[in-house]
Amino acid sequence: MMKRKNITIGLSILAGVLLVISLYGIFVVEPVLPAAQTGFSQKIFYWHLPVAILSFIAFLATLVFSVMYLIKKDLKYDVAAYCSAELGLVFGVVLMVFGMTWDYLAWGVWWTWDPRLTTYLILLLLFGAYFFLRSMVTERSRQATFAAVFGIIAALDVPVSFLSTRLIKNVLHPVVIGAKDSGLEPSMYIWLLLSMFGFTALYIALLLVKIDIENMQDSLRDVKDAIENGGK
Amino acid sequence: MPAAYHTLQGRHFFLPTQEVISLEKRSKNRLVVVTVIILGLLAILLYSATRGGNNLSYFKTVTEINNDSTLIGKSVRVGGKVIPKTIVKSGTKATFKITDSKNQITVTYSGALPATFADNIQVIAEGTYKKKGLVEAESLVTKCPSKYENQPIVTK
Repeated sequence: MMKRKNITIGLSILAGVLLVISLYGIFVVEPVLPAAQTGFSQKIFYWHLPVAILSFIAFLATLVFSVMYLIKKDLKYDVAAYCSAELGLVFGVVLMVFGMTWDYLAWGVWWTWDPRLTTYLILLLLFGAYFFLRSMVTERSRQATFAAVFGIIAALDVPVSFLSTRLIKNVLHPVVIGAKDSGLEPSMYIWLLLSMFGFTALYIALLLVKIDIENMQDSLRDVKDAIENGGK
Repeated sequence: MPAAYHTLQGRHFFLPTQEVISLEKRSKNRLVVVTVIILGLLAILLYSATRGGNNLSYFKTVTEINNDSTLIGKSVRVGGKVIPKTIVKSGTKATFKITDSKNQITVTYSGALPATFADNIQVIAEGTYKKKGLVEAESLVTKCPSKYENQPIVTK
């Protein structure tokens, strides 16, 4: 347990250091791009992409943990799935703030029904419903089973959203990495990768902390139940 | 046959152990069947969406609009590059031409132009296809590039 605490602290420090260095690179080292490349607001990109990828990873982790729960029926997988879904939602909301600010500055509107934006909004709504479903079922193992099944279905929107900009032609949302006529100046990749690693470390650290909190709450509830039942 | 209390999905049963094992098997089989059905539906959806030469698209190109006279009078979403020096502003109304480097089409738009709107910028206009070569836009969005390059210009 002591070792795990050290890993969490180490990852948190690593995340902080990497993200601060990436901020230095983004705002001090890299010049402001011309207006045709969305100018100053292009700097959102360096954090927008990693946050988006991490939200996808978090929801996919929920899928994996949910499958594990259904196979093994061990509540620790349900706790992990729940915690990862919560982090996915947090990253998703942050992503929406970044995205909407940027598309207001670059496209001229706060929101538009582009396939990527639409499928991503559906993803967030599905995971909103995931938490609603959890709160509706109190009996612990039934809650876990329902949540696992629904979590798997909800996470199936991750590949749909990811591929929406690639399979549908003539979309508004750009594909920067790995598409024709796209890409970055080599120096920009450094800051992008630094923020990518930084957010990954942050995600793992937050997941470990969140799982610990959930487990503590579970033990606390068990103790409470025992006291209540013992009193009768 | 040995019998005992068993917990299955949160409910307690007093059952022979053999019975419990078969119940657990049944619930696992059900899971596999449901998974296969969902994956099958997704595969059909993906197949039907990408079939027919990938005709899934968010906006139409200028050429696609120009070659399809059945679209006249209907609402369309067309994307293209603003041809330099074709922007004419009168009052709140702006008229300009966009191209996909093969064909061109005139777009009229009354409303606030996006801050990034300029010559050679990719735009997507949503509105009514009035007649051949004219789209009356109700909304206008500028498309941002997917390539970022350093240039020795540092201006805000």
